[in-house]
Amino acid sequence: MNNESIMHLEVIKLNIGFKSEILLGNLNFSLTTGEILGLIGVNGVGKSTLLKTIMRKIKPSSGLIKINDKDINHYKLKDFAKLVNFLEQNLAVSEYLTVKDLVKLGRNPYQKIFQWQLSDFDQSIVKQALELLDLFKVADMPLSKISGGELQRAWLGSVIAQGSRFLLLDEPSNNLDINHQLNLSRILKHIAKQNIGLLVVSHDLNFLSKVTDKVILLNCDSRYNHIFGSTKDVLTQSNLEAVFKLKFKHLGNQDFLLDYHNG
Amino acid sequence: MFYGNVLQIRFIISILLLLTALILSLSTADCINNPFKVFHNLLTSDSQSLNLAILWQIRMPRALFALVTGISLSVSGYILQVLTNNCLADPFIIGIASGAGLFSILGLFCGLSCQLLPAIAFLGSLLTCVIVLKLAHQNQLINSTRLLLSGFAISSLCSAVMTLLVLLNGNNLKVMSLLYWLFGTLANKTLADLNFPVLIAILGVSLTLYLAKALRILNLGISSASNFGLNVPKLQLSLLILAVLMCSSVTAYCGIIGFVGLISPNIGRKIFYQDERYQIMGTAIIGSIIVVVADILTRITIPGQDLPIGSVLALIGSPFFLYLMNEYNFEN
Repeated sequence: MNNESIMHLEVIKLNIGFKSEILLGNLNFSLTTGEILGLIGVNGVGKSTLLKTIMRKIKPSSGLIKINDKDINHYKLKDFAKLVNFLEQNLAVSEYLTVKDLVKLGRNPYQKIFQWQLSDFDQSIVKQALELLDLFKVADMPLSKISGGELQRAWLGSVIAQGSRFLLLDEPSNNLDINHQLNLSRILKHIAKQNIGLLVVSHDLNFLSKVTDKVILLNCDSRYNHIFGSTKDVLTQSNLEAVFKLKFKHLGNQDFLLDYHNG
Repeated sequence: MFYGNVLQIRFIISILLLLTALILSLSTADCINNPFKVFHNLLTSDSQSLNLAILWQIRMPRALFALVTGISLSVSGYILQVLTNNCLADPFIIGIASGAGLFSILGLFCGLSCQLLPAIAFLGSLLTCVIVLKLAHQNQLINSTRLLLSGFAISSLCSAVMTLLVLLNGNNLKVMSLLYWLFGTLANKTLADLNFPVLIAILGVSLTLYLAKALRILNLGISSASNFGLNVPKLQLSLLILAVLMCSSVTAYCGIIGFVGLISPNIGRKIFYQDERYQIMGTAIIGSIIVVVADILTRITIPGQDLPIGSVLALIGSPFFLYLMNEYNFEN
């Protein structure tokens, strides 16, 4: 993959809402290729909605999302698929599709609609993705016969094989055991090193504090005041306590531990 | 690939089965005759011209109609099952049958000749489907729940009006023949009638095969499909148009032949798993085997009397439908 050029995804004065109600207001942040950006907030604050807005699935009430100084709505479908890709929270299962075939589908934006045979280059990318995600063992299994964690990795493999410059991952650490979660941190860092920008939603603060360069903390009390900055600056005790209404204890090494006793 | 060969062998076997069924269909009058004898007689007997006429003008159109009907109905069922993401969908859920029925009854009352009936029925089903499609559209996408519900509502409405009209004019002979058409029949067709359905079937199956990879992606859900760079609204619309054209082109001539569109995609997917191109071709072949065999049964069950193929298929199809219902996980 020649991902040498640096790209920027910019979100400018974005307002998202349904009818007259504002869900997310005055949201500003930017993501550069090679960076990992974390997205944190309580349930229902609009994390998935924000990702869907960037994926052009939801129209914002106002504001702008730009990639390389061009409004995302001005990109053609296939070009957009090569720029941004999305790992959804609900992953589809199929009895008829194998893990390998799913990963191969990631190369779809580079193929004609009736083209089934992958080029040598595409095949090598599929192989790399299978290897990176440790999927060789289940490569020929249908999606309905593998475990939840394997399904998560299979879909991540397909997303990676698509080779988009920005990846939006909605809770990728779900369903993963501790080993695979550690592995995921390694994989995400590996992807970012290939000059790809990652936007990761997760409820696992320890995971995010280890992986991310920057963080957006969505605030559900005041829907216009979101905190965006470097991970160190944002994931502070006071910020987290304000958003989650719980006591946090700092364990050093940027790790956090939730204290369950309120107040 | 290792499963490629398995699929090829299964495909060849199903084609051989279809050919056997077709030969049996050509040899069937009141009962199944020995095919070798039939074809031998054809070549040698003195009354060659009469035998040839029977074969070419009665049995051949019938067998070919069964073939085309099976192909078109099952492939359109396959498409609709993908579009609605529901393996219990059937091409008639979007109002094709009742639309065609209602319009042909209205056509009869307006004094149109019977030759025009297929055209009227075709237009009627297209019109109903356009209405259902309009109702199913939401945010430029076809919402599968809305598609199923509005299809159901519009079909019920059309059938209700149709039933009223039939009841009020029950003694009309033309209406009686129309009722026979409603139950589905492959009798009394000419080779010329075949032109339009065959054209649509060839077009429909080849375009569906052309879109096979898109169907594979669409199976993973609308949301994921657009992540893969597919133009989902355009794809949904073109697939739905293909399904409607295929189903209504044969319905216009042969009436309502239910259950093929439901059964064959389900069998096709089970036999030709993992490759949508084989699934589509296999579904078409299985569909045509089912219709050809059912058509033979309509002729031989009660000698001298043609049973409506729709009811024969429903007799076999209903138990299968119940079996599917038990197997299929409704939690999704």
